[in-house]
Amino acid sequence: MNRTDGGHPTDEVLLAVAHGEHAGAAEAEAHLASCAICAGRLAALANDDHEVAALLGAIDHPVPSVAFEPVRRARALRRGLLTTAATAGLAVAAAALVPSSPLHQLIVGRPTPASSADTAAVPPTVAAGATPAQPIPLASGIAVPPSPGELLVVFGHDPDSGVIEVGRATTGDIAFRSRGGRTGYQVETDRIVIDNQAPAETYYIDVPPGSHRLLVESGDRVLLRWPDDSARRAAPGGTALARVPLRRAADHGP
Amino acid sequence: MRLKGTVGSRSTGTAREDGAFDEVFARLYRDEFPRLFRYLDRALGDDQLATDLVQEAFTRLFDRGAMPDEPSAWLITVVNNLVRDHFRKSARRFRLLRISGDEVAPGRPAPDPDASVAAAERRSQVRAALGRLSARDRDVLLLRHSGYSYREIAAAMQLTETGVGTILLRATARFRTVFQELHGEPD
Repeated sequence: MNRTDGGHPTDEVLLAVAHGEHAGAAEAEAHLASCAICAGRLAALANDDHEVAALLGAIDHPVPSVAFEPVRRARALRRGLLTTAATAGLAVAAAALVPSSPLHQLIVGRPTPASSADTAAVPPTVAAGATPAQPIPLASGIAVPPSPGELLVVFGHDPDSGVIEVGRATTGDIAFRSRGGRTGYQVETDRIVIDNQAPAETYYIDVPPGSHRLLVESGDRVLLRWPDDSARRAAPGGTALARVPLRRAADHGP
Repeated sequence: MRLKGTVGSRSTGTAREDGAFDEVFARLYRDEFPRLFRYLDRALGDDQLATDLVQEAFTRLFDRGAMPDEPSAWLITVVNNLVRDHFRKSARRFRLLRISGDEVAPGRPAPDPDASVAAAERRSQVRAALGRLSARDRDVLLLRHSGYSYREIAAAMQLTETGVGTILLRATARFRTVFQELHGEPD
């Protein structure tokens, strides 16, 4: 048993005893029976351990019930489709680069006259001053994994209207969507360019829990530093974590 | 000294040829899936990704066709490698989010009771505190609190059992200190 200079078990030994782990637990327990100081230390360590366990339990998702047999079948299917998928992936990437392709239209959020389904999904631009008959639906968007450092988000055109809303993501990715206008996204390493060619009413950025950092800029002005600005930009009463009204550079406050 | 990536690289006598592999594998899957998922879910904060990676680890074990000496440690090593690969490859990965017909943005549930908000806040606080630990301290702490023994953690993380105890003591203290600094005393 590891002991301190005073002959008492070390904290490591006591924590191992609390965990029911230590090989010399019998010796340590014999000491604990006759040493109130160490019994108190053990109780404190066990209490800290339980406290950590309770805190970690707060972030748990339910354990999914997944039988392995379907996983095996999916694996076999996936292998069979792998070559096809790789080929298809290249084709999709190529199609996304063609401005007239439906995929490109989906990414940039432009309605495609040739496709009524796409036209219905992406709202037509509402004339200035007109009241839309229907609420403007969410446009398509993207989700990217958080950057280890800071993810830079840049507006392609200096926005003079609308608002950025930061919300809580339901997955581990950072999601970008918009409502109204026409918005495209260019994804680079640690950088997202929001191509706000027609201003959106709202730009949604959903951030997963954790210490993920975002810097949202337009030109040389910083619109949002997340999470540093979370308190200053808090949106009381709403479900968003933060709101940033977008105004012209000249009108933009400090 | 155990070399990195060689955890359980030798195999026990349980191989597919002797017919016992499937039975051992099924038992291992039933016993190990929950705690491996728990560890990865807490580490990643993404239950879907955790599920995918744990399944991938088991699939690799199944494809291997023979049990490693330390199956638990082998699985932990594999999922940790899968996590690293995932984030390395996903540096430029993005998903297209389909157009939503509903009027509530994803991640913005309808206004809910205070309890839900408080729970979300607590999750965010815990994850922030975890983010302040070193990767090794965090992994050892999460493995222990997912039900792994010192021996299993030592084998998976290439540590001695004494080293695991030392890290656990430090990580526990550090986690509590950081949490209190950030958010005050736990309830």
